[in-house]
Amino acid sequence: MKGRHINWPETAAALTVLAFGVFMAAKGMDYPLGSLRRMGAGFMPVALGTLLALFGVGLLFEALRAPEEVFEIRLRPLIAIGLSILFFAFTVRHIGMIPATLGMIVLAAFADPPFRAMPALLSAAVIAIAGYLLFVPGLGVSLDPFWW
Amino acid sequence: METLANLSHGFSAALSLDALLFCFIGVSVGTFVGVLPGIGALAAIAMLLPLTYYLDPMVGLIMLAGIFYGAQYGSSTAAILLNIPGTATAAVTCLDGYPMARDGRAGVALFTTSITSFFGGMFAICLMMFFTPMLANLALSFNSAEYFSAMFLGLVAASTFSVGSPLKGLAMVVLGLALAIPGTDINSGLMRFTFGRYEMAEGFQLVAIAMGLFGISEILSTLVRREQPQVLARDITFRSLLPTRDDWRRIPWPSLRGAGIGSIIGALPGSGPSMATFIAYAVERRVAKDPSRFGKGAVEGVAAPESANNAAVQAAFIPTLSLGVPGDAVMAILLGALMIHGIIPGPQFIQEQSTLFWGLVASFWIGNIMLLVLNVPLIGLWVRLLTVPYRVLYPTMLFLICVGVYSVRSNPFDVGVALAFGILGFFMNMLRYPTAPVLLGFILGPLIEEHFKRALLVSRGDLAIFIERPISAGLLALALGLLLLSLWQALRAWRRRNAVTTSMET
Repeated sequence: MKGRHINWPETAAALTVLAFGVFMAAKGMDYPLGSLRRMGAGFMPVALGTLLALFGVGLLFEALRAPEEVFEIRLRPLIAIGLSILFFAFTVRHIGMIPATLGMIVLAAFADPPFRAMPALLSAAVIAIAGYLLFVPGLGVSLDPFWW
Repeated sequence: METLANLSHGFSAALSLDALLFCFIGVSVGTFVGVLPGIGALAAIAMLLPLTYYLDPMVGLIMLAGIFYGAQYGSSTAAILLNIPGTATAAVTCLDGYPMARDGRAGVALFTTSITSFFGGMFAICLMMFFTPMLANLALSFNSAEYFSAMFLGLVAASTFSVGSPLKGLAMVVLGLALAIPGTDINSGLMRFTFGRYEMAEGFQLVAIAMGLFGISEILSTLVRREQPQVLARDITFRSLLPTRDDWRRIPWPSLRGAGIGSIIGALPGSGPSMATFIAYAVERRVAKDPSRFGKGAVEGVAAPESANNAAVQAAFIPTLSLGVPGDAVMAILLGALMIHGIIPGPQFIQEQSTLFWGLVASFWIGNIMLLVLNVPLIGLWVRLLTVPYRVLYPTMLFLICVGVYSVRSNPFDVGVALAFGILGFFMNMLRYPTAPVLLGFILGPLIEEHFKRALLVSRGDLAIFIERPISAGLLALALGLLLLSLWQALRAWRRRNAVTTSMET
């Protein structure tokens, strides 16, 4: 027998499903369970959590049988897009929609190298202004364009 | 005749300026995202979902539905010219469409797909006009037990029919159901799983989950993979579109068969347009006099699946609007859009919201005619779109997602939720966990929980109610059959793989 290779990403995913199910069921116990006739707030979380945990066990078996795979994940797009969305979420209330959009688009441009400042700024400006016109006067959404 | 009167009533609603405008926007956006390989119909629908908060429910629905069927028209363009399906449903169109393009017959292939798409769509709309009210009448006698069983069947079908491991599909449906739980419990008023955050009192926002799972995750996947495909034919002249006499002879029967197959499969819960195209293609190969032509540029191999996927897309509205049971994630989002306006589709829907229903049906006619115009004379325009670089597209998508999610209730927390689901969806794509069942579970979760509780309240806690009522029992038996079938398939695949590895070791 050769040594067994484990498909780590698949195994980790199955364990995540299992952990989520267990967590859900355990936390659901805090709420009243009730009876089948009159179910309490905790009934569904416990039932679904248990089911999910069982599926997690099934997936674990499947994952252990799965052939080994190599996953190529480049972190740059993940980090750049993540930061750009977070930037928008944290600033939109304080500095207004247009500056928040400018920052978001420029940050997002780092996701697809090579980064070039001028095109990034230009597309950010176009998107921010066109987007503002579409959402605020066009659709009547109430968003402050700037911080004042 | 009543149908005709209703339809003309619907046309008067759908021909209003607003409805026409948003129908046009919907089908154009649909064609656009269909043509572009990086964006699917689901992502586009999710991105435009926030708009429906500001629109009349009918107009909003017309637009979202237009994206869905418009994408089926556009998706074949990339399949034929790039050998990359614009949406998952066009994968089959690659098989014969791309060889046709290599033979210099790209124009004919594009023309055929538009014509047969139109035919398939029209065919299914006619069926929908008659069967939706009929099914709704039948469903008037349903009570909570039947609803629970119908939704249960829908969820099981959606997860076991999806490509890949059925276990992953089922687990993801349950995950979706679980995601619907956080928030205030309707029966007791208790706050569940809110972790002390007031933003969670209403639970997760549909828009945030949909945009994350389908919008952000798609951007991330495309950027990580970085594909820049080569376009086969940039200039499509009008002359090159015209099929030869031989082609004309070969188109009608396959498209009729495709439309029939597509309508039936599309109306079944859980089996979306992709499955319809695969089956239509397989049937066409079986009935062909010379099956060896398939895969080498047979017109039939383009006509049948394209007709089938459009028929399936239209037929999918039958169970959604008559029973309120969506067959796939797109239908679930449309259902969610209606629920945003406080409308819950069910058997009474056609009577209570008759303008909405018939207006929507009328908009399908109008939209399909618009699509024919957009896709035949203007095909050159869409082909040129294939050369738009992704570095222009994804910032625009990102902007629509962030502002769309934020604008729903001016809450930055929801943008963070969307990002979290985007990252989750990205890893799910990498590991081949299907994302659509999550959304289906999330939208059906509250409904299925309520019907389950109500049925058991009526029966005083006796679970037998689900099998004592014949329709409910039948639906549950079907669901059980599907579960056993997928279990058997999984075991067979498992054993085969084991056999392979042991034979390799010895």
